[in-house]
Amino acid sequence: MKVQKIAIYALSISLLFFVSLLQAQDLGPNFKKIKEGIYIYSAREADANSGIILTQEGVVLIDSGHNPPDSRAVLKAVRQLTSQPVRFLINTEPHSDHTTGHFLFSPPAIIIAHEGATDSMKKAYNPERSQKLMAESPEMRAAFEGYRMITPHIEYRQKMTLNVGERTFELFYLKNVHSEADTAIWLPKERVLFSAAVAGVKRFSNLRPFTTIPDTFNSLKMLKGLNPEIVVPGHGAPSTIKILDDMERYYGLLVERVGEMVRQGKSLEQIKKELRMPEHEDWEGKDRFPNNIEAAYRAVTK
Amino acid sequence: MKKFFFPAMMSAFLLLFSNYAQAITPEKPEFRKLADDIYAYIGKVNDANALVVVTSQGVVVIDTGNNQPETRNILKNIQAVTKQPVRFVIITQNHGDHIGGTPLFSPPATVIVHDRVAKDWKSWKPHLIKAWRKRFPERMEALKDFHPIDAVVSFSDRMTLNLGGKVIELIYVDDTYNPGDIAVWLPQSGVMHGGFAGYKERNETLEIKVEP
Repeated sequence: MKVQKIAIYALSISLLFFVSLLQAQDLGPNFKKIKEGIYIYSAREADANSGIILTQEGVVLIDSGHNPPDSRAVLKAVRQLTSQPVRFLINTEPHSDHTTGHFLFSPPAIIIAHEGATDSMKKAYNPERSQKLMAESPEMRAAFEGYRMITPHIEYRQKMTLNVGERTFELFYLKNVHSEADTAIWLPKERVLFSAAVAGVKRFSNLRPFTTIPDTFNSLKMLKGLNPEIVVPGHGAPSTIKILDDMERYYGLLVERVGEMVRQGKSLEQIKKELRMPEHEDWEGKDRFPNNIEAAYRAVTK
Repeated sequence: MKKFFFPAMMSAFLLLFSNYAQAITPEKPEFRKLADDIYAYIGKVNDANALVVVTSQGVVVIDTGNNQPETRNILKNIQAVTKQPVRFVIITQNHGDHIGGTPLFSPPATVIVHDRVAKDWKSWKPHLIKAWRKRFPERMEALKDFHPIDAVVSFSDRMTLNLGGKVIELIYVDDTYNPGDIAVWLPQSGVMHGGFAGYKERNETLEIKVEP
């Protein structure tokens, strides 16, 4: 009798354990739970992250996924997590790997971005990109079903605060760091920062001609000042403030070395040929290194 | 004709907003169409005005009526012209006669205010929150655990709302008397809700013209 009782206890405890384990993994291997009610999705390390944040008054998403199959995975996870609707979708940037999947959430979701995001999306829209993607696989084609470009409903200038139920989202404009409309999102109570494209994880950023390293330093300094516990970059695994520190150190070294070479009278072309960054040998995106040198050159010669 | 209509209405709207000592609005409130899908609720006898923008993705209400009967009357008028729900409430001025009707619409409507207004709402003492929940008896259940800040979006400088193809621009207008005042500009129709900036006594240089 006693043995039976113990066996039942043991069975129920193991069942409970199994069920809780199942709940944690239910969403699939591409989801990470970083805090209570906050989940991050990306299918591959280098893909754009998408954030799911549950609140008492509905769901808030940060970016809609790298490509439509990712957006559908996010939508499925939202359905598993809650019966509440996606009320807001905040864009860290207007580029297609963060915005193509909007059509799956809006309407009814209200899309929020910094001023200039709509113009940027319209200007960059290239139907060939979608066609090329759709040709990749039947799954991709199916995921695109119903696609149309959905541009932001709210564009703010400089700073905005969104309160949804018990959570607060502070939106900060990051000037000249990556796109025409970069936004970092800060959850002060949870101390979680979505740092947008200001920093990659062991990865060189694509520094377009209008981006500047001094502005990037300013953004990094401002974001570090928030003292986040968790940093979710635009691309790459969520981690700590170390992501911002690493990026700041890299730009510091880059500007220092390019500056030294400029003082030695070297031309931009010479610097591009000669400059080495042995500390960052293991970083991805080496094809972007030349435009990083150009940005550093602009910073030291202007 | 149409060319003159919108500037005329805009000026008239500004004029109506400038509460002078003597009443310049009639004994009865009026729900007046200013342009396609844009309506002014002109408060009676100098009561606060409201503006209503109807879009295919919901209604935007700018200011919420002088008191509870006025707010209900605004809602009744909205429901007479559209089946769309009120999705956004925009507050141009942090005074009871502009914000007091908010709990009739929100939640579920999202409320847009300036950062300085949000800061004030956040600091409200429990008795103010309690009064907010009780303003409309029919809303007590929906507002049971609700804090007025819970559905607020606030901005620092400028914000543009693009809902169902209707563009609504919000402009922060610094005002010594009313921290967090904003003006609302509808560029597609040329209609402006001047907020308190449209108040003649505060802006002596303001020229109000009503074109025939």
